[in-house]
Amino acid sequence: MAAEPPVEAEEGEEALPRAATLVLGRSKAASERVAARFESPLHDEWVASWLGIALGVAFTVCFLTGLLDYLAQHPPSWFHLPARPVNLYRVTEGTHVVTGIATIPLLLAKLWSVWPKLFAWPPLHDVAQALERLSLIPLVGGSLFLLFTGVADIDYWYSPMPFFFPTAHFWTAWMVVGALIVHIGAKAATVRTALARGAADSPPAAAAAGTAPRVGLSRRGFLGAVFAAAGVLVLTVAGETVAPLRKLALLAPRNPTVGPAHVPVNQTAVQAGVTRAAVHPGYRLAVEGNCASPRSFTLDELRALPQREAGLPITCVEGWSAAASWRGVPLRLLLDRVAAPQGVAVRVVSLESAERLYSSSVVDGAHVADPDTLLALELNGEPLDLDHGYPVRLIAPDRPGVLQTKWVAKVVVL
Amino acid sequence: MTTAHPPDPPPAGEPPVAERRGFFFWVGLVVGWGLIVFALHGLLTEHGTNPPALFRLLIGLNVVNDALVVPLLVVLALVVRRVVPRFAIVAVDVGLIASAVVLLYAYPLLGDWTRTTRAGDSRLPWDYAHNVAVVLAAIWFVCALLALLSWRRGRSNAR
Repeated sequence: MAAEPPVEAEEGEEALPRAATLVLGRSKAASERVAARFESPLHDEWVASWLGIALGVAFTVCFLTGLLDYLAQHPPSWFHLPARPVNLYRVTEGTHVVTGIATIPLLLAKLWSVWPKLFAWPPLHDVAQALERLSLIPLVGGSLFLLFTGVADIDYWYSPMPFFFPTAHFWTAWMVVGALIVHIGAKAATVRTALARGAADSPPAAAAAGTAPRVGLSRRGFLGAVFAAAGVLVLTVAGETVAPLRKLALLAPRNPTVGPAHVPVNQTAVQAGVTRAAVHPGYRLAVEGNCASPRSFTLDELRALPQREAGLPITCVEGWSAAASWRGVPLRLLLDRVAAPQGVAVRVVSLESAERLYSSSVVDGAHVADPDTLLALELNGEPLDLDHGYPVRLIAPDRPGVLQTKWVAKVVVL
Repeated sequence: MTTAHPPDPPPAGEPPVAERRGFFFWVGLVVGWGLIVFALHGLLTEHGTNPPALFRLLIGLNVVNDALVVPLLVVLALVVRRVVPRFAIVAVDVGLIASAVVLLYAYPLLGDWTRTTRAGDSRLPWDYAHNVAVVLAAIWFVCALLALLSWRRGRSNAR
């Protein structure tokens, strides 16, 4: 429990009417009675400080990787994720999800350790402290919101989220980071002091104080249990993106080896409503826009063009990823056939209805120029499956899965 | 982190260290609240955020944690102290913490509500009720070993 500042409180009370002083005094006594009931050593500043440091690191990693992933998925005009190294997006997205999962026990333990502070009295001393305590609402509520919606998203549980998940998650993350900065500024000195003081129930400290070690978890044991719980979650989930952990991934929402050509499918052709158009014998890929010789290509004409094979991961914003071998026509080569200028960006348009989310995507100039950016016709040595985007799909390094447009109908040079 | 000469706690009447406001407190307050206002603006103006539903969930989770989850844990901790033999309390505490975290994470995987029709066979491919049981069994196996070690240590100390 945080110590009360009696002098400040009493000074404040002097200015108050007698009735208010009585109420404050009784509330303070009630608050102290509540505090006395929660004298577990786990509710202390040493535990809270270590958990706070771990959470600060985890939230920073989550925020930075999440920011990168959000910008990659909804790129503003000033942002382009580089095309190299090809696993950059896979690593940042995987790190974001795994760190977020590891944060669950850390956050809950932190909230447990500081819970009695909820009853601290008087709750406010002045405006600055009011602002600091007010920031706990976005900090605690926002953190729980981020973890809850993050887990719901990777577990495909959309019903409790009547909002567009990426945008809501993104802005709430900014709010939590703001509140975290307020909290760090307010608690930095407390943390320093608590860590210097050490764990009072450690065996040497208990011996020095002449007290017997308490029954149950010590502070260090509690921290160990929390970090072990985080480890269990990471080990049983991370295999959906970290291949060496695949056999342990008992709680992973996705098996990245299941699917046509051993690659998962996030949206089937039936669900996208493109089955008939995709297998229609009259299919043509149109290349148009800012080019000297716009034209369309039949599937046979595409197959007759020089092909390139590229080993590229497909990475979903829901946290899974799978490495695969893709074969197809380099996008830049196709643009050369229609005399498109160098350095241009393109819009890749799917056979899906234009009203569907992510039915088209923009490929920036750097990605267009990358030789591994393909209009793929084959996956893992097999002709592209209908659910993987037959007859033609985009695959490029360092792009979220939702931007690897499937069932490509048109390439518009911008 | 234990030191030979721990610093003294603040004298009576002196505000706790957290209340001694220095440069970082004021910088944190200004920068942090600036970001919070920036985020609130984004949440209220950007398309698709559905602010009423979002804030209901945000505040609701806060309330559920403080008014339901933590009090339940307090009760559970009291029950463990009264029911579980002394030598096994640490092991049971560890088991309960790890199990609660696993169940909280896996809860959405155990229901049918996530099995919509958007994706192929790779999505939610396992029997999660079985897998959760396996993970919990592994956790409690380790905890049983911890309890056994604690019991043996207690017996040898008694001799």
